Amino acid sequence: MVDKKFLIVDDSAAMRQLLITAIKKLDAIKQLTVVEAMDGQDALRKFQDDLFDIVITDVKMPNMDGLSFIEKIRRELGNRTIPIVIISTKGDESDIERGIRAGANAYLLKPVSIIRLREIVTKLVDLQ
Amino acid sequence: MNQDDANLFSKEEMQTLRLFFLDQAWLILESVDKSLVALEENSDDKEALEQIHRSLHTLKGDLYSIGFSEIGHLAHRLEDLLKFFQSGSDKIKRAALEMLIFGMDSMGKMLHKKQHSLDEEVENQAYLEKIELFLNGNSSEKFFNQEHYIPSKNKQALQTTDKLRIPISKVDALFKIVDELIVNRAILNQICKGILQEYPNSQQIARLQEVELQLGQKLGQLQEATLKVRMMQLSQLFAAFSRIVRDLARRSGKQVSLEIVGEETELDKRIADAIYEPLIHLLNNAVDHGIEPCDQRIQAGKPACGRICLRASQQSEQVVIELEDDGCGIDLDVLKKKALSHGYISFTEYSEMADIDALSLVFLRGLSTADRLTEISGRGIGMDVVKDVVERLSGKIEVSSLLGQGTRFTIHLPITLASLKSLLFKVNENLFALPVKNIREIINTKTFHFEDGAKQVTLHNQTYRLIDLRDLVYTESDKDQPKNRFLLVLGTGGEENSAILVDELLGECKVVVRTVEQDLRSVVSTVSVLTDGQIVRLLNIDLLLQNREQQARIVTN
Repeated sequence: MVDKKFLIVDDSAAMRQLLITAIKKLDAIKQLTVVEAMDGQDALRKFQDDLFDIVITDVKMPNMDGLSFIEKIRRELGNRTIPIVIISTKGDESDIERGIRAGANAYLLKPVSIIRLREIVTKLVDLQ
Repeated sequence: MNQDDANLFSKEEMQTLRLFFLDQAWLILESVDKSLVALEENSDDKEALEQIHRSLHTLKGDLYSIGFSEIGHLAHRLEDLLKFFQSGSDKIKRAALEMLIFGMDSMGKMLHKKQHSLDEEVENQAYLEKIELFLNGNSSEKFFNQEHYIPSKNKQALQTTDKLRIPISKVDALFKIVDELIVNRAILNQICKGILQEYPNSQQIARLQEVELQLGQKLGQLQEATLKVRMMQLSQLFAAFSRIVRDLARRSGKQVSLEIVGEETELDKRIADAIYEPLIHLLNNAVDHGIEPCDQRIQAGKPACGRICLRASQQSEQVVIELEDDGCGIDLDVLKKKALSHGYISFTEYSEMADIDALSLVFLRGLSTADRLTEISGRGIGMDVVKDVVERLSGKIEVSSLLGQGTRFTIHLPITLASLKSLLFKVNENLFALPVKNIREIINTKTFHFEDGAKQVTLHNQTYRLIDLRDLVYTESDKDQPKNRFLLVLGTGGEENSAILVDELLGECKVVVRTVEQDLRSVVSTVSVLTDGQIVRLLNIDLLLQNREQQARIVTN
């Protein structure tokens, strides 16, 4: 049992709520803290203020999109280790490729499979 | 989200999530509505365009994610529609925008339905087909060239659409409490009067009565205020009609324009919802069977383009909706022949029937000259169903028609079914209420004489049928009849003037009708339960007079 801190980025409050509800059900996490952000800009600010165990982000968002946000984490802030999961409605191969190239560890499609999300999160934040 | 995903959540979690998603969807819808209006003013409004684009995208993602795929699918198609809008000429833009508005309205309807039955899939076929048809463009040429293309009148509708985002059940719950308070207050009022009679000089009691009076006033205001929450502007209901009429006209190759007057009139949401389908049916009939083809109209010396006018207005406690066309009118001869062949009328009636009576035949099952499956409502409803719906809502529908000149349907509806100002009285120790509008006069029996058990009574030189409610209310042990009773003289609604005899008057109150769905055709149309367990029954006077055999139903325990 471990304490974990998640950063969830989506311009849809509903999506964030769904993800939070799903993650809260992970038994391996003792104390879960979730920080929500509604676009890339907001997320970047929050990311710099805190230490997270994982970032889950949407792509298409106002102000700063998810890809730019990821690139900033990986390139400008030079953080290569934090696991990043993309959840997006855009599912063309080129979209996925762009996401992975930007630095995401996983790319999930909306409508997101909650089961798959839990599997991936479990693996990426080393909950086994 | 598929079933396996959903199974990870408890039922409560799922419910909460779904409701949250719906709430969010409503918010997004509202913002899109605003942007659509902006776009209507300036089709190059980049900011509005971007906002709609993003919103539709979010909606799609959200709706699919929570498992409302049928609504998500609509959002998806609306995204396509927006692309179409962006690429099109001005003419196309205008039509695409109208379609987008239609799409958002449709989504609103679907969300609304979803809210009521979270577990059920909502029908999206009709909406999608319409959008598909538009996108495929096979009819777009005709669509754009329509001479009587009706520009969107939806601006006001959009601004007011769905401001009420409270589930109506919550409003109903509020209502119920106010209702009980009001009746409680009526009883408190009686008690006060009783005490005051016993202690006429008590200062304290005089003060109590004063407070009781103020309480009554405030409760009345509270009830008015809660009533207003249920009201919606008819513009929300009428918003889709221009389109519908245009589509109907296109399909039947006619030219029809729809004029809407008084769409700012307000009506109880439940009544408005219930009257939607009947109105569509009437519109359908007007286009299909009222308005003639252009050449016929020209021959008859009428303008080629037919005209339908939908007028709404408030007249005291009623909303009147008139639907008038300048078409061919109802052929009474055809109608009577049909009625004869269906066995509704005899041959004598056929030959002697007055026009006004013949016209009402149109409401008989299978007799409206226009019964057929309607594409709009998706099921064939006839004029009999229209009449039935209106009457269930405690309203009435009338028709007038002039051969060759047109037809007019007039629908009278109560503004609200939620509450009826009623007189509270006792019969055999049971509380009853009767809508005040039904009562013309109240007479204390000590002021005039009549025989016990009389079936008639003469007042102001006029004979009234007398109904003693004591005859209808059975209790295990009959209480003694009070010396002074009260005669409620009823309005001239029924065929004969009637008066009913009750034991004791308790004053006025507003009786809340909980659900419209319940059968308003029973003699007791609603029941309110007081907190002390007493029951007050609201009498439906028309039926009391009409169906005497039903009267025995008022059995109390």
